[in-house]
Amino acid sequence: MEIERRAFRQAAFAVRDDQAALDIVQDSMMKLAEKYADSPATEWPMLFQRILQNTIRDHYRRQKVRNFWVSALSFFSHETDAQEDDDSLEHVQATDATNDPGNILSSKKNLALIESALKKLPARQREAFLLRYWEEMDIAETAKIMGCSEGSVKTHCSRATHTLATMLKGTGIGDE
Amino acid sequence: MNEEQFARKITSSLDRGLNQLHPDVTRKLERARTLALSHARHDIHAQTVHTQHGLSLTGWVRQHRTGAMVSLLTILLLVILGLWQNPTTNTNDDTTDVDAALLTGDLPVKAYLDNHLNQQWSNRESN
Repeated sequence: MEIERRAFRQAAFAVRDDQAALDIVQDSMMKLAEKYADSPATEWPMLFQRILQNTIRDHYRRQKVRNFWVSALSFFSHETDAQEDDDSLEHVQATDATNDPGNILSSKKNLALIESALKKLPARQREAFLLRYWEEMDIAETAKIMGCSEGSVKTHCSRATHTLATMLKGTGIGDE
Repeated sequence: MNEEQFARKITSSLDRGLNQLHPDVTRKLERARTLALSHARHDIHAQTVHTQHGLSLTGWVRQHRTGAMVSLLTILLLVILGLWQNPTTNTNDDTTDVDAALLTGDLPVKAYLDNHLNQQWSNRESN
């Protein structure tokens, strides 16, 4: 159960939409079951991570195309503008509600700060950091999943850690 | 605190956060997992059946998706080419018949001047 919860959080950090993150995790699990059901179970975590990251990237691509058409069509339709405004407002309200620090405990507050900092990281840095340290993949596995060199993984991880440290400075997390 | 220690501190906070997920989300994730696992079991079972009783058509299509797609497109192309060629050949045959009739002088001279006569002559010939 831990794996899919972590996968859900990873997807949510990336796409910033819980419903889309749920769809991504479900799609990834189905793809794993469809294509790699006969693979050894020891390979499943890495295969699942690779599918998950690709599904997140596909979501970005589809969103990019969708945004392009929405902005292109907004020249012709005022209704689309209104709809888009409504969606943005809903999104902002939802984000505010989940990150509201007013009535949450200190640990929850720290978690909210960490999550917010992770969301602000560049996508590749966040991907490398979470795969390497949260999913506990080694550098070679992380490189394979991300489709880049091991050197790039080290660079992304190092930059991610430094950026996070800078963003969380003064919050009590990792100050000692 | 070095890079590794700092990262561990972050991830342990994230781990604690997993327990704070909304129950609805947890339930949906659990359902998705069950669905995927049952799908995987079904796939393994289907593959075993196929290997035992030879390769079925659906199994072949699933394993050779690109090949099946190319074959299907080739068949479709051949059908289209066939349909396109056939009426053209028939039209050519008709034209050749008319030309032959004209050259052998079966048509009266008026046929060149009167369109209706051409039709009447054709009807009479067919009777």
